[in-house]
Amino acid sequence: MKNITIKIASLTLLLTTILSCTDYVDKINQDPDNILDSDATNIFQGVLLADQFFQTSSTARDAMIWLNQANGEDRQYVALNNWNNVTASEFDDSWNNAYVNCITQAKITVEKAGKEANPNLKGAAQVIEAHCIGTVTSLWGDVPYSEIDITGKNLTPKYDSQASIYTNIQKLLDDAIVNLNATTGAGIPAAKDIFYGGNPDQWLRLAYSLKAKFYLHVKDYANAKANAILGISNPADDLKAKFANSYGQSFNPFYSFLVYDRDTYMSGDGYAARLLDPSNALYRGNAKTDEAARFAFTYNQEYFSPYSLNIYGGDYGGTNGKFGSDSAMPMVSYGEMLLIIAEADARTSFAAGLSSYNNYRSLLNTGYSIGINNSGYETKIFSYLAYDAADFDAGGMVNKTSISNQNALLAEILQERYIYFLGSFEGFSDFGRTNNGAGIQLKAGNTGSPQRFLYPQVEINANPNTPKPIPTIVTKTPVHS
Amino acid sequence: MKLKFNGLLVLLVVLITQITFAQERTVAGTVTDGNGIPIPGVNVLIKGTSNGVQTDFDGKFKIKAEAKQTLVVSYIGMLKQELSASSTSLKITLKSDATELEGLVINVLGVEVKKNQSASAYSKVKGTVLTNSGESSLLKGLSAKASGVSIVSNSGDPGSGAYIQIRGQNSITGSTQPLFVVDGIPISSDEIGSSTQGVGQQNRMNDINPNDIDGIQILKGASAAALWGYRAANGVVLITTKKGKKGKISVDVNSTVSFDKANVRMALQDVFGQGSAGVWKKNNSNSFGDKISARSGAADTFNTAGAYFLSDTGNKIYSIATGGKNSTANFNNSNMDSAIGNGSSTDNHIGISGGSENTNFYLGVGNTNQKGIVRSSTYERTSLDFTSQSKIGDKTTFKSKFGYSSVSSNRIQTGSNLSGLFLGLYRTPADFDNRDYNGTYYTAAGVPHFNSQRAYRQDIGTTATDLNPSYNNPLWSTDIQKNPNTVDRYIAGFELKHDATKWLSLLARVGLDGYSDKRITMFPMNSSENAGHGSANESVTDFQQFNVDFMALGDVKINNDLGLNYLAGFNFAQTRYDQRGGSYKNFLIDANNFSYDNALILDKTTFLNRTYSKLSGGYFSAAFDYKSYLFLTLGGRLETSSTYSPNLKAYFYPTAELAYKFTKNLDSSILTDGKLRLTYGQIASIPRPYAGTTYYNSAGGVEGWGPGYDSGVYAGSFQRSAAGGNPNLKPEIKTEFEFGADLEFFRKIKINATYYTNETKNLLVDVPLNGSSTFSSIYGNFATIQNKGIELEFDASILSSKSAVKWNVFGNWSKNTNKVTQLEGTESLFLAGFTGSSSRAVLNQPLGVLWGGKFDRDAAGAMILDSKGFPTVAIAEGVIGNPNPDWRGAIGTSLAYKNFKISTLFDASMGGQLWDGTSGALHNFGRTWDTANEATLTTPLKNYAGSTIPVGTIRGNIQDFGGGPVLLDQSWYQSVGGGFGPVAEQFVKSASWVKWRELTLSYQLNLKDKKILGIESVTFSGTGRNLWLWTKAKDLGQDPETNLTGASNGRGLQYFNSPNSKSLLFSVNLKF
Repeated sequence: MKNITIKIASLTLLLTTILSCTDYVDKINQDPDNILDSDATNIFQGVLLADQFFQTSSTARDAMIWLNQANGEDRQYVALNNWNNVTASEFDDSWNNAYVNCITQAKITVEKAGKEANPNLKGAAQVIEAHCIGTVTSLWGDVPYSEIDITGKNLTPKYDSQASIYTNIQKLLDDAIVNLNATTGAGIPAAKDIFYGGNPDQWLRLAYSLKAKFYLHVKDYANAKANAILGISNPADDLKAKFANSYGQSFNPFYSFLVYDRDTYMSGDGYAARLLDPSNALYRGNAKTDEAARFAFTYNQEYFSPYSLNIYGGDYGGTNGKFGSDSAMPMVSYGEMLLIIAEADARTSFAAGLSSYNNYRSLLNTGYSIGINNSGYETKIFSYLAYDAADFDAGGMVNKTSISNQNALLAEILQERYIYFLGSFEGFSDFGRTNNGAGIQLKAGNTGSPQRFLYPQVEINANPNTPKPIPTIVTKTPVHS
Repeated sequence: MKLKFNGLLVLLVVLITQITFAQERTVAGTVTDGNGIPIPGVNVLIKGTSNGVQTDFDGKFKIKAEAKQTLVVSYIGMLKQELSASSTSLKITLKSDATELEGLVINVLGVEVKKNQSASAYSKVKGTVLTNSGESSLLKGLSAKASGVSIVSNSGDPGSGAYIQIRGQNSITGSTQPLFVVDGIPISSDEIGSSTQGVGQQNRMNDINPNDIDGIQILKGASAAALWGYRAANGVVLITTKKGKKGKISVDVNSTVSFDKANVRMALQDVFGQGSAGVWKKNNSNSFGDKISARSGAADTFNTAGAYFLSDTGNKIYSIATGGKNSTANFNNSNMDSAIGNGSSTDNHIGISGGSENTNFYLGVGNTNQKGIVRSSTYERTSLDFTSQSKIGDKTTFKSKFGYSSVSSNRIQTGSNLSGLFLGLYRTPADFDNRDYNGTYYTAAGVPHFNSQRAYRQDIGTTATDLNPSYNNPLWSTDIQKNPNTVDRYIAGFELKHDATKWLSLLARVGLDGYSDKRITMFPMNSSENAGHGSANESVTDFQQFNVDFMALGDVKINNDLGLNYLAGFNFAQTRYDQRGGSYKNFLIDANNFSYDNALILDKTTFLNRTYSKLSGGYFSAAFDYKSYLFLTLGGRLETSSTYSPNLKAYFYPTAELAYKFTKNLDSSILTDGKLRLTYGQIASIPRPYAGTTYYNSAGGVEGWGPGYDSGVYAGSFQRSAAGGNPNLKPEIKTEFEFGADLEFFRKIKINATYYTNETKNLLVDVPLNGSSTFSSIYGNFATIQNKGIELEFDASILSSKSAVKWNVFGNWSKNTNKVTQLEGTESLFLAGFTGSSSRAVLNQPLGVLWGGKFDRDAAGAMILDSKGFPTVAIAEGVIGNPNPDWRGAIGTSLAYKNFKISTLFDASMGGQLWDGTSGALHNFGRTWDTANEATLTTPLKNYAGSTIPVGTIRGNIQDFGGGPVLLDQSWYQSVGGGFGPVAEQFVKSASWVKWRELTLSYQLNLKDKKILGIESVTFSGTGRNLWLWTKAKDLGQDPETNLTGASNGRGLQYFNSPNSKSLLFSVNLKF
């Protein structure tokens, strides 16, 4: 009797447990600590931050070292002084920041803003996407773009030709311009827009500026000039990476690296510092040009002698230098537009080029781009007086090697770009585009010259469409060859 | 204090025993079966009384009896024996009872059942073997004790974990650790937080006191482990704790003291001083300075007009004036000794057991107090283990267990860590004295900066404007930085068994396991962390799991020749992690106690991670026994887990085992016993929780060199997670075949041999994706690996069983080969390590291969040289080494004569490689002996910088890479030839080693007739562990048996690992 009871009881137990087998484990497999979706407004700022981080972090330092604007001093960075020593994995972080954190999220924002009927926000996200993919293609050449699929259905997009990407970027920016001109929708969220506080007009000028920048990359100087004229037209509209004083969160990545993360790795030693140093034989100053303020803003002797990068600022103390913790880093600017116009003009006519270049110099002579307030650095002297045509004559002030005045002017403009774009990728792109028209003295003893970045190890590993073998670092990108 | 307490307890117990049992004497004996194998759990009863005991794991028993009494020895499946207690030392051989099956053993589920013939290989380790090893950690004590089981200690840090691997790695990113089961309760072997930097992590198995363990069975095969389900995919370690025995209360007191030191000391050059290019330079990171012995030897001259450092010990230290370094004083040894010195530990344990006819109990209380070889590292564990068994009526038994451990420790920051001990210690130049690390910095004008840290790159301390010492002074890392940690661990379980009929028993059991792990890390201001601005974090991990089984089991006699032993049941389990904590940085006040008030709100963060999962499964096993020589077991498990959701399914895993005892009718005096085994089994591993969904995270990012951004300090933003969710996750399924033989020759030599082959498909892997995929990684079933191997174990009694000298030789040998046969979505997969040198899974390579930068080579394999004759760097990284050994083996012997016993054990791992990142990094700083060589140039040579070095004696090495001799000097070691260069290949070395793991001498003093304080016996023993180490690579400076990333799946990484230790232990064991 007892046994039967037990048997029945156990049988019942078994049956109920069988039935509840999957019920028991169901519906607890979503992370209680994570969020499942977001609207466009709450993704937008992440796109801006990802773009500015990509433009100012690891590979921006590599480019500076290879262009002899800085020098590797310790451990891994010593080997890095020779661009031939770099391996593909050095580019993983930069590449993934661009593709995953910036371009993907920008495309998600574009899609969501479209559904939310917010054309201005869609346009702004398109502008950032263009800035990011344009920079990527300028550094790596042929890269995946047209087949990028945010639904995750195509994990191995093909590599587009660099030329077709530049063409698509112009189309994307044209679309962005239409969207930014729209007057419907909730608009760009002011609180989330760290660059322009939600002002669509400023975004519009940025869109034209990027068109100018990328036409220049493919040597379409006429279109570059035409769009530069429609682009950023005053210092207040400059697109600047915005930083503050919190380590790992809002620090300028240069400062974070130079002071917090790797405090002895990188000095300012190199050709650029000597060009700006009034006490050096290579000094580029002359009777009409005094670089003392720009030199002090960029380089000092805080960590290294003779040249450290100037890391003064909110966290370190002192007057903000170019690489201070909270020093904003220019990414697309008024000065750049004037330089594009000057270069385009100089390539067609010496006179027009000189006049346009003097426009730029008069802007510099207000203290623009020197110091974080465009007003010079501390009490240091600066002077950028207008050049005369005679200054470019053979043996003139800016033509010591007696070449044609037009070539001398072009070389001067390109050298100015080398200094002006210090700390950004634009100088690296110029180096390949102009075959070192700026006459940069690279670090001696290394084979070839740095023309592009290596495809990253993650891409080699996981995307079978990655070109094999990967082009070396001294191979020109297609639009430059 | 602890000792005093023990002493009091001993006295108390002694008094009780004196009063109760004074008139009797002890009869001791051993019970074995017909083959001489000891039988545990045999009932020994004094006839006509209720006094009785059970034999222990070794088949031994002790009972108080008068000479005229009779002992009744009984065991299920054996013929009952009665014999006189007139002798005090008995050897009893029980004959098998043909009418019943063999006796009780622990089955794979940890349940006591009548003996069934397992066809799958398992290894047994006795509890005493663990305690004799001298390791306070259970895992490390298992080292070299079983074939096919490889155990790698993370480091010699007190309480540090170990990596245990059975039959090679079966998973790539999932756990490779076996399931640990204590008395039927699955328990956690978590080792949370192991990475390339931070403190050495503890393994939660260390919470178990080895003194409480009676025995361990290691189930290696898939078929044996399968009834446990996915948790047992890497095998099962079944731990049986000590149980009470019927009879009087017996007390076992054990006290051990241990003296430890580093088993290998890093040898670093002391010839050249701080500086660069042969010139002494203060605060320089390198030791490429001048030759110390070439200095004048006069006292250094100081800049006494400038700033200075006033140390806590009262020394006033000025900066050395330019050109003022004259002293030849060398601090290479004193710097090392001050940080890594002598450790010690004490271990005290009392075990009390007893029982009546219906109830018995065991209570173990222990305390281990360890001071590590690394200065200021401590570990203290107090544990309590209680088990009881009660008979309720004739047919029902109730068992309960409760275990509790309290662990507190202070750990030291190590690894690749600017604020860690070893970076600063090994990099400090020989001519810099690390003492006087803490004090006050005064400017030349006399303005103080308190709590300044003095280190080799801040010769007069950190200042108010430069709080960063670059690398910590090692003594600052040990004494000023604190990493306190406390853990409360509890394990509880109940088991109710009802023998309903002869052929049906019902069993229900519940096991609970939980711990709360509280950690604090404090980097005070002036530490390297956060550039000297102060950083602190704390976390609490609350872990809880329960496991419930309902099962029916029994024996059925189908006919006279065929028997069936079956088991069927259901299993439910749940695992919950609640991890929370926070951090703050940029301290407002230079205070070292943890207070969230000491920072601005924007500098504080919190986190919460909750990870919950459940499983349910049903299982059965049917073991057929034909005439006791042919055995067939069929089994299976149907299982599902919450982590399959949203693709929730149940999966079935079958097993089959066949065993044939071919000596049944063979009457040979040579081959006295022999069994052939054949098994097949499948077992699964489940996906990790929550991986089916793509989430949105707070937008942010980092780059490998350190800088990062976080939208949380701007206006807040989200981004779609870079880790893609995958709704189509399936289990990893391992299929294993195993073939083996158990042979016994001359009744003395036992050999077990097993060959296995297994394949794990659908391995779950976080594949790092190309950024152009829009994700940086995706988790899914993307790989397959295969393992195959051979395991051998032997144990031989050399002398006759009648000899007064007992001499045993035992050992094990195993070989495992492993290969990744399929890897989708990526060519190689990062498991652990650094960007330029890591342990990876690579297609068609053994799992965990070392991966990194290489020299560029042409198609013929010759190095492509630059114009100066130096090698160049290959663009893409590749495989540079294999950390998997060719074979592992151990051999030991024990010799016993009367009351003396001596045993020793050697252990070896042959083949396999490691990446010696320590040496690579120290090349860069000019601290290795390699870089301190002085070469004599007979012709001028080029160095890597392109300079021509004239004839003469110069610091460096002459080498010919194929383009003629070149000079390797500072310019080479700090570029391509050093550890910070892109070529990791040159630092891959042999990881082969041989260890003299243990030597134990013991003497047992028998006092049972002397009646001294009721003590039956006193055993004195001395043990040496890790006494000697041979490594094939002579320049390692570290024990190759350590791993930087702990019990992670990445292997073979050496980067400023904490040293392993060697010890001398002395212990006294008292039995009452």
